[in-house]
Amino acid sequence: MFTVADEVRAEAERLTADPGFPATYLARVRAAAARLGVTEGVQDDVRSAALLLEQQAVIDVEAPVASRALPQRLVKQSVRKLVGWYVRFLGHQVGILGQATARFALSVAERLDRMEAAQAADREAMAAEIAALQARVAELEARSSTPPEPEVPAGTPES
Amino acid sequence: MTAVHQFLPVFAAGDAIGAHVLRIRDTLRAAGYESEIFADDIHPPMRKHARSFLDFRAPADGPSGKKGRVHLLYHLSTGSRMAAWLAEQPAPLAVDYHNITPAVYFDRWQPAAAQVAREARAEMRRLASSTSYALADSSFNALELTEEGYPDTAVVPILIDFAEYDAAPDTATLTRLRRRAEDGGAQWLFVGRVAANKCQHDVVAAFAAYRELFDPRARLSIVGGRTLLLYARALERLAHELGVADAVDFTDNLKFPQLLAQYRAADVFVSLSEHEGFCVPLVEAMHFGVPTVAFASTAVPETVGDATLLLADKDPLTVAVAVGRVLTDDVLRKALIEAGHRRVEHFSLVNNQRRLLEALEPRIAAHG
Repeated sequence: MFTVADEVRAEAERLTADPGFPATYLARVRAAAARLGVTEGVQDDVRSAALLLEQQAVIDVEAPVASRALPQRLVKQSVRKLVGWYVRFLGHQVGILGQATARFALSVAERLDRMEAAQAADREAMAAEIAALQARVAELEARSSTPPEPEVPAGTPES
Repeated sequence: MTAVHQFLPVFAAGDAIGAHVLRIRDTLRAAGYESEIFADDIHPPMRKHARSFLDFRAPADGPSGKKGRVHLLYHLSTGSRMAAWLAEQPAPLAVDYHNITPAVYFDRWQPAAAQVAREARAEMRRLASSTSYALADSSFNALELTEEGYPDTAVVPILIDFAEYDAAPDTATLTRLRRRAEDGGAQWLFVGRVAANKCQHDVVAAFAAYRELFDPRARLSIVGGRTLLLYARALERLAHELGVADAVDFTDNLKFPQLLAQYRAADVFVSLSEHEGFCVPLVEAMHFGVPTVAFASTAVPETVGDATLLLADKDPLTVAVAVGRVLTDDVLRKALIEAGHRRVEHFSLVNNQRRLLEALEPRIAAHG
């Protein structure tokens, strides 16, 4: 059954093909929203933790000044103006420290990934080698346990 | 007399679970049960309704040496020291599960909350073996309980008294919103805690796309408590970045009449939440005859039935087109509104009270 949701999807596709479609703006919208989405990954995964650290390294130094009461809003705006230069200076350094830490963590994650991959390849090679040896041993055992065929004296009639 | 006492970690005013607990108490009392509320953190307006769980005393032995017939109903939605304490109680324990938001949604914005969510999940797992039976707001929640080893689970949707929504809205808010609507442009609404699982960032993105494509005068109200401050701040920055900051209102700490005004002034309710155990605001919007568009995630499809334009993806363009369709297609809009009213009737207080008693009474008898 063709549903309204299907019609919506078809309409979206038709719009995308339209020459006047604001593709650049839509790409910007999608990218901006995606940045706030959940980072997929296993929680005990080092890489996920490093990516989270990288996201957190961006420090927002512009404190919110919204307030329902006008005097409070004005006070907040004034305080932000007064200490803005100071907070931005500190925030900049904290951000750089965070980015450096995230970079370090990502390089550790990459190194771990490489080591795990190498270890997996070694394990695979070793398993193949063990399997080949076991097959060889089995073959030798089978050969040694087979009794030698009795010698048939010359001239014995066949049964 | 049989008693069913309720326990919850936080008992707060204006909270869906708090209201649900009060209605369960009233339903049980009306059905002839004794029922009290015990909580750990009791907010001042609720102190007249509840006592500390530490004041709870297990029933004394009756004349025959048999314990009084008492059941304990624990509302599970977060971690609490109460869970371990309840597991030690001799009376049969039931769990009413309202879902625990997955920790991954807190990791980035509030790591401490992520840790609490992980501990809550672990606690939920441990509590399964001490639980005699369980209730869940939705089949989605019930499935999670079953997966964690909970026995004998029944679905009882959250108890909502829609009559309360017929109270007078805040005149000042309604006048302001209606005056703004005179300039033209659709009024989008989302109601829900400002939290990453609710994905308000996707609503802002879809709204920006809608304004760009269809309606440059459209406005968006994002209503809800700011539990994740950094996420709330990121939403404001997103609105600035996309050039829609002047058209988006972020509203916190609304009084109930102000919330009613928001619903009454809305043209469309858009939910792109990724994790819901039920999603009360969608049904609230239906009560006000506001057509709804939602991302089909978790418990949302079973809550809305056929009364919402459900989307399998929430790409900003898809959502913008969907909202445009709902607002311009009279037949579709009317169909959604009518189906919404039927859905509200389905979840009416009377119907859900009946479901509650139908779920509880045989289980109380079985675990007497």
